[in-house]
Amino acid sequence: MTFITNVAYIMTKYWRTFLLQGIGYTLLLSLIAVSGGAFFGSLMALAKRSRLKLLRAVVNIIVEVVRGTPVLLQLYIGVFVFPMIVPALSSLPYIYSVSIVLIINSSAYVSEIIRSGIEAVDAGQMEAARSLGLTQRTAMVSIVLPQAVKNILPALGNEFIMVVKETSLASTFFVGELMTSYLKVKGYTYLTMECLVIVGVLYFALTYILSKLLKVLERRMKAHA
Amino acid sequence: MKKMEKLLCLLLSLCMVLALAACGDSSDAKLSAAYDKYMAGFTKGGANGTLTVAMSPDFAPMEFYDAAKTGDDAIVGFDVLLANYLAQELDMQLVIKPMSFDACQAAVQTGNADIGISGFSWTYERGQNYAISDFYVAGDNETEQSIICLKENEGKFTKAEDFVGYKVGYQGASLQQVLVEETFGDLDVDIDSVYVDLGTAVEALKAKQIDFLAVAHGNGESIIASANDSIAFTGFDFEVDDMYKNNVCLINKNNTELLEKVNAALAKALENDYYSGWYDACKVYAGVSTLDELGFDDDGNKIKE
Repeated sequence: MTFITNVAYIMTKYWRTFLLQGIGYTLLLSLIAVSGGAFFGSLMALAKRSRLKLLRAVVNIIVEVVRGTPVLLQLYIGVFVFPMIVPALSSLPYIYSVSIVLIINSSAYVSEIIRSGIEAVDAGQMEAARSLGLTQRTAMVSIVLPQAVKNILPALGNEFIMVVKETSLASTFFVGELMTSYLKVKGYTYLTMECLVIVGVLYFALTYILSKLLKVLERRMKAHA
Repeated sequence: MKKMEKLLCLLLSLCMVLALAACGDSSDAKLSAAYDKYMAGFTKGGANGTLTVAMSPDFAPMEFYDAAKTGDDAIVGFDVLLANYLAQELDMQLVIKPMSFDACQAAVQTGNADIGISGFSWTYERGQNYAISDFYVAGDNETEQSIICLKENEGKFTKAEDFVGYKVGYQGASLQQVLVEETFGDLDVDIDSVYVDLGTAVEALKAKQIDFLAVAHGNGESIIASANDSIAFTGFDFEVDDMYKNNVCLINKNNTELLEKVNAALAKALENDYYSGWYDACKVYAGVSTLDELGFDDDGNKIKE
């Protein structure tokens, strides 16, 4: 019973920290990461299909390194090493470096999603379009890509949900998302389990609502197919 | 699926109810009165550039968050007062960068922060890798190092031998780790339980995964005070060498100029006995003591010693 009263006490006293600040920053970071990731990820997917060998190699190395190392480690490097390369970053709050790392991380995954989405479109589609006299570019833009998008969107939605959870690692630098709220409140109250349960419920609510919205979106896409 | 939706609605409405119930938010202005007075006394915005301080604000009463405050003022505690004092003495602008405890050390090492002030104790290894400032004295937070336990064992364990056969936990990379290893290393005491942070360790203690937890006395008081009626001091205190008793600041090895300035400021603070007043104010703030107990009036003025 003390557990529930403790949870109620924490919520009455710190609801702003959890509901406004925590959820706000979590959504902000996820949006930055996913929209940045979608933009740069598309560019990287294009680069992967480029004829320049060097460009392909560079992008492949980035993707492999990003996918092969933990996000937490990438955050440490981003926060402590990026400012050495770009001095302007050192006077800015950590959320800037953290956002850059999350965008890079997300781009690597999104570029793979897009690549596999394009490759999943039957090669016959491209061949047919080309034999009808369409140029490579027109065939890509008006025949292959519209079909690829349908493969890509659901996976992109999953990536969004993954990113929502990954932002929790940014709490190492107290950027303000939900896990930071947990650190702040339990640092003062020493009520660890209670804070964890609150944060857990909020994360679940966020990702559950997101996945519902994505389902609706997918259904719409199917209806228009 | 319908059921799931109902459950979700229930959860969300619960959140809303709690949030609404909280709208009449009562921030305890009184608790911070003495602290705010000290903060207001510091001169801010010096001319000699910025002093960037790395700090891990999850360690009441040394540094923690006040949810009622916003922005940079939300980080409060003894080390924040010290940081403000140092910035004033060095005539620099203070920037506090919050991050986890081990990230603080990385920040100083990489030059990302000028100085790490986060309740650090002196250890041999730290001395090898950082320039270490002279000591500062955070009340009895570090001078007394104790062991806490569940209420039922209160006062029963008083000497090192009493702990034979039990599990003693501690926070990794902390002074307590050094003390636990020195004290129990040769005895048949299980000291394999290491935790990343104190909060997790307290949960382990409550869940009986460990029997005892080594803490700095001040943190122990915070833990016991914060609604955890189930926890108490064992009655055992570590024998603490003088070199461990106080806190130090970590500075980058190459920055001897800053080290000298910081040491001069620390010497002045010690001479004028600033520390005990600061520490008392932070203890009140963290809910460990009341204003009255420590001789403050309701507006935060010190009225008796």
